[in-house]
Amino acid sequence: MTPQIHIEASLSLLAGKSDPIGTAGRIIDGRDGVSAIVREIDQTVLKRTLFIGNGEGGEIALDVAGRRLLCLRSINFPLVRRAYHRLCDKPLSEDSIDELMDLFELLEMFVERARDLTILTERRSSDGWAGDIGISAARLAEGWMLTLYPQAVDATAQPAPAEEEDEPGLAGFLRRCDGLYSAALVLEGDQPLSQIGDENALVALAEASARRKAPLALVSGLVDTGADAPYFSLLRDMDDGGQMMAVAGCGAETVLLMAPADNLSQISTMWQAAA
Amino acid sequence: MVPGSSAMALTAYLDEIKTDFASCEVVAYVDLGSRLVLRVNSENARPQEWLDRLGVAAAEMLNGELAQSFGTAGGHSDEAMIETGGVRFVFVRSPADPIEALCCTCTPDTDIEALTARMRDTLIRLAETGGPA
Repeated sequence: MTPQIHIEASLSLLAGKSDPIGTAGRIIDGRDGVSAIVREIDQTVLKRTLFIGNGEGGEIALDVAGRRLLCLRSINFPLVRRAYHRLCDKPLSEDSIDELMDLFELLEMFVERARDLTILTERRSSDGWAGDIGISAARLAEGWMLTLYPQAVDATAQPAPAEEEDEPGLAGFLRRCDGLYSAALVLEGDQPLSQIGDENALVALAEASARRKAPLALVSGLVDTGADAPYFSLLRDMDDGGQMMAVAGCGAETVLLMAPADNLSQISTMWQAAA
Repeated sequence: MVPGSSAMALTAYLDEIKTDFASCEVVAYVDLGSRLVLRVNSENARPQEWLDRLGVAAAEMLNGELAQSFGTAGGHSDEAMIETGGVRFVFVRSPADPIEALCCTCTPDTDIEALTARMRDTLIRLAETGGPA
């Protein structure tokens, strides 16, 4: 590229539409392809927000600085909205995991060089309860770790109806665990996890547990069980308001939960059914 | 070591738990500092190696890396449980002395809330009777 063409290309980029809600943002036509987005990220040193549109009303907002993607701030695509609504209707279910995985595969083309994504949205349940909800995704060597962390717990949450209790596996286990502080499904749990946030206790927990299957290793020799045997472990901290944390694993999958301590019996019973 | 009358009280308390919770196979008193099982009541005789592993498991679950990742107050957990292979291991730290704990192994259908409450109560009673420090 000659210097003149390079300058013209840069001027062309600068001529893009301004951010409608602030001077630090830009709108990019996503139909120009991934290379246009990557070029914008490469040319961004000071922090700003990139709005990537698809020409049909869909839009992704990316916070960018230092020539790298900081986070995915918001998304507004029909597919994504559907996934959110499904997620907000109930705890993480197998279907919503599949949809989220599809979502992140879709987003991967926008963030091919990013490791972590954070999505914040608002949760509204059918009974009118509302609160912030966060979804973090950390890309592992193989697969993603998804973390769901509501900022408040629906105190009126009831166990799932009996007809839903037959869903097998860890996804079913998660689906039946209501009233959680946090939950994460770790795929390919033997892989090290990347950091999501300093205050996310699940990250440290996952690093301490999922990578080495610590609870199962502790009883190795006490119980004749294989390395891939299902296990359920639980810790309760009485000094911390009775908060409870659970780690459940089966093969390469690990589920991490944080919940009020009075859900202990309910969760352990559900785990027995799932395992 | 567990001295004199306190040792007798501890033995009686472990027996009571075994009697009241028929699904408990092993009830053990653990010193978390030394990671040793100091007293055990078990239906079947257990080799010392097994008891040593149990002591390590109790210390790791209540004070170890997992507990430090979770606990926000003191970097520990007060109760812990592992279930695998049809066996449930329950660990409860003494509210009176944080380096003491009880460990029970039981079947998964055991009333876990009742058992942990009983274990906690036993540790308090033991401390009140001048139990092992």
